[in-house]
Amino acid sequence: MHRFLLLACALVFCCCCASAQDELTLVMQIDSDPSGIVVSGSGTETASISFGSVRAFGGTVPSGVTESLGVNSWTLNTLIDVKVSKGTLDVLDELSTSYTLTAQLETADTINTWKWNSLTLSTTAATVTATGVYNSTPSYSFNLTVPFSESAGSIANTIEMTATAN
Amino acid sequence: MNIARRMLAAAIIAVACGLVSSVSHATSTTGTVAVTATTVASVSLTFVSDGSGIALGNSGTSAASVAFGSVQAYGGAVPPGVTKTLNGTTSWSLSTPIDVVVQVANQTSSNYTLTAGLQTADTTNTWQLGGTSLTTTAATLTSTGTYGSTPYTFMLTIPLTEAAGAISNTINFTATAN
Repeated sequence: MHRFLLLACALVFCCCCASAQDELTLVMQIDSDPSGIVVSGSGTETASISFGSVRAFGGTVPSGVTESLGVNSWTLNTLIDVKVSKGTLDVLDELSTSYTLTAQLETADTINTWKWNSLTLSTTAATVTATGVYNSTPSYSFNLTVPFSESAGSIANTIEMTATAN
Repeated sequence: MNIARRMLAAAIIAVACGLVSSVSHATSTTGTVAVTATTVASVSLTFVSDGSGIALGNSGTSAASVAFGSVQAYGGAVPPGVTKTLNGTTSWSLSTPIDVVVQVANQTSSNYTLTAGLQTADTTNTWQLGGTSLTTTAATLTSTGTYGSTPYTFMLTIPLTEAAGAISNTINFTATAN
């Protein structure tokens, strides 16, 4: 009887523990960089940035954004911070000393060039870093390069990032 | 003692459950950054020193300057890239090529129209660009300009009858994508 009781207690504890781990495992937080564009949803894992109405020649860019001209294209650049934390109750995560961060585009873009820390993004995940440091807030340089030849209009895409405990 | 052993066993089972649970869920997390921008068509007009012309002040910008310095009809010297011509007994001219660079972005346009005009009227001297005399009313230098760099010869003609002194003016250019 006592054995069954102990086993039941252990199972209940396991379930509670598992539930807690689901909430307390790796957490990604995307933040505005002090020198970058204002990130909407800063502090969450679902952020967005809007460059607004921009042009190659003349005009203005949002605060924290720099524009540079190339021979056949122009580029918008800004900084975005990404923080990855690990859960305190997650046994495997606690053993992890670093994480791997990958990034990819949600939708293919054959016209514009999207770069995350000089890494050209596509719809295939590419490794941004394999030695990410937990709880630090590294800033990543984001570049969007637009060809002169592209028609004016809206540009939109989503950068998907995945952090995996090493 | 039995109770202690049983509690230890329960604890081991619990830890084991935790490990299994950790393995069962991926130790990863995701985040997204949605990016939006609206690009607007634009045209760039800049002036660049021509390889055979005078060195422009602020070359490569849209607000350049040309300084001939101290020059005279007879004798003296002119800056490199400047040609001085005596027009009989009536006037003398200074001429130099200037590169006008027009670029277009995010707009379908095969050529452009370029106009130029003097900022201040000058009834004494003659100001010309590419053979077109300039006044305060913008004149069309080309209506089929090819994007990129195009050299225009700038010429300032000064009557011999004009008193010596400073001459200055500003030429305002406008490039419009066709």
